[in-house]
Amino acid sequence: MSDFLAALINPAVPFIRYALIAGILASASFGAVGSLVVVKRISYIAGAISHASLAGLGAAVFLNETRGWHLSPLIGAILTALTAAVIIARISQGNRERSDTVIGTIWAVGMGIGLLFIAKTPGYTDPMSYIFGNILLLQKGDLLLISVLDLLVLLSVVFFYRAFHSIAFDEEFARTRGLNTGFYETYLIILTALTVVLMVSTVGIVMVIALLTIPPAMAGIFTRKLWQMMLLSVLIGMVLNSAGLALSYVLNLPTGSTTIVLAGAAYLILKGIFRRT
Amino acid sequence: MDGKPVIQIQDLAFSYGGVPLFSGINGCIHRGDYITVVGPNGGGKSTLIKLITGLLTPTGGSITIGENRENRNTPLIGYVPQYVNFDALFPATVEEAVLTGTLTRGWGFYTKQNREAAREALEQVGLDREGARSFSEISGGQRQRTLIARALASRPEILILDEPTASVDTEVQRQLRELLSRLNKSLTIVLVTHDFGFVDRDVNRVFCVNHGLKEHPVEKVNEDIITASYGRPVMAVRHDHELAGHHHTGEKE
Repeated sequence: MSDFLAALINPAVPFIRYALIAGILASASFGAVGSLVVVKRISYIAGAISHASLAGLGAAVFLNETRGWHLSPLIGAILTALTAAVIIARISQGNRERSDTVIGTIWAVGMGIGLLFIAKTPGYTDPMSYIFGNILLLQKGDLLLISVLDLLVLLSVVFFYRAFHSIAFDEEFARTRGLNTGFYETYLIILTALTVVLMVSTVGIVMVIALLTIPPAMAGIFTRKLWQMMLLSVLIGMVLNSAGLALSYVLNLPTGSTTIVLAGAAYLILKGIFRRT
Repeated sequence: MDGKPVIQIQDLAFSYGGVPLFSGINGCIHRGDYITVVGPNGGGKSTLIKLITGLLTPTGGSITIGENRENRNTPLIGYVPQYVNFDALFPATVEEAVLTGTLTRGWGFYTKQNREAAREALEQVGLDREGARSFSEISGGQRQRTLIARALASRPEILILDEPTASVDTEVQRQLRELLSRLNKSLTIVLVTHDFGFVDRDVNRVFCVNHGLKEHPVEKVNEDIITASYGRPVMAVRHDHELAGHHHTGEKE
């Protein structure tokens, strides 16, 4: 463990520090939005958005190599995640298509586009880094972007808490009260998209969903109010992200996988001890 | 109460995906009415309620709420769905659930007035001591009363309930009947039910809904009318039994 602490202040390996800061910052949005995703039971939507974000990640990598652009892959991920979010929100609110089919299509096609971009990028780019995460992908500039998005997401959740709580509890009733539930549902899916991309670099597009859902699931065992669930999820997320990073550094393992397995194990242990949910 | 019309249904038409459910139906609900809406499954009871509450838009005709308001999201109506449709694990206290009834906009925070309205509503349904409990840990009857309190928190003039007695035992049904009779002193009540035990005492009219709407004064509702509205013979199961000194009589489809 002292190795890990030494690495945090070692200027030669700044990415460890960046990963720790990114994990702690992102935990705030993950706890708040993840709680809403869990109680509203839309984790499959978050899954589709995170996988579709590979299209933007791949496009950014491709354009940087072929056109000499200097686009952070995170920006590409944000753009495609937002596009997927808006399409999914529109589809799931209309009844013209089977929404689960369309969401599944966005999930797979987005990932396919991303892999095609990576395949056509000159030189060798390992797609595994984007799919399963790699803390080396995190750049210093990304931390500023993560901070801004984090703030935007948190302010939105606080400001619209009543609406989100109300539509998650009973969307139909909220509509009878005159709430524009379509707007709030779309906004929640957009916030989910912004949250998901905060951690795609570190844990990858596949495992990011676990970080969104496991801390609220653990917090739900101990809390009876949504805001309490959010706060506890934030704390649990911070601990899991930091512990996962430390463990992966000490044991020389991939950070994303270590964090997710740690989170899953902690959840199962808690479920075993407290058999309430 | 003055008996003025509060809900007027005029030439109402509605289709699901091009298949007509209603065509040109009419009806009128007056202030102070206690109406039960009965009819077979698929006959349009719930659709009619969704049209009145503004959750669905008519394909023809109109529903006028109050003086001249169309049926869009009017605060005059308090809607009470079935408690069984709720997520048993949702993290909300009874008070929080009731507070959502005071919402008029999605942003900002609940005010002191909102909390006062929620407290009064909980008092009205006899749950004022349960506000801090989790919605998921109270009984089915208490959950149904919480949902009635949530509707009351908006201080409506009309209470619309969708099958509130489904999935609750006979004692809770009796308590709900008493509560609704009490609320009817100051509110108009429209109640969708399969339970003909509700078509008694304080109910003044019955709406039979089966791809159409027929109004009947409660004293004229008999087996023939019920059979005609369901479009087939209805088996009546009468059960009279003592419940804490009260007689209960019910008939089931």
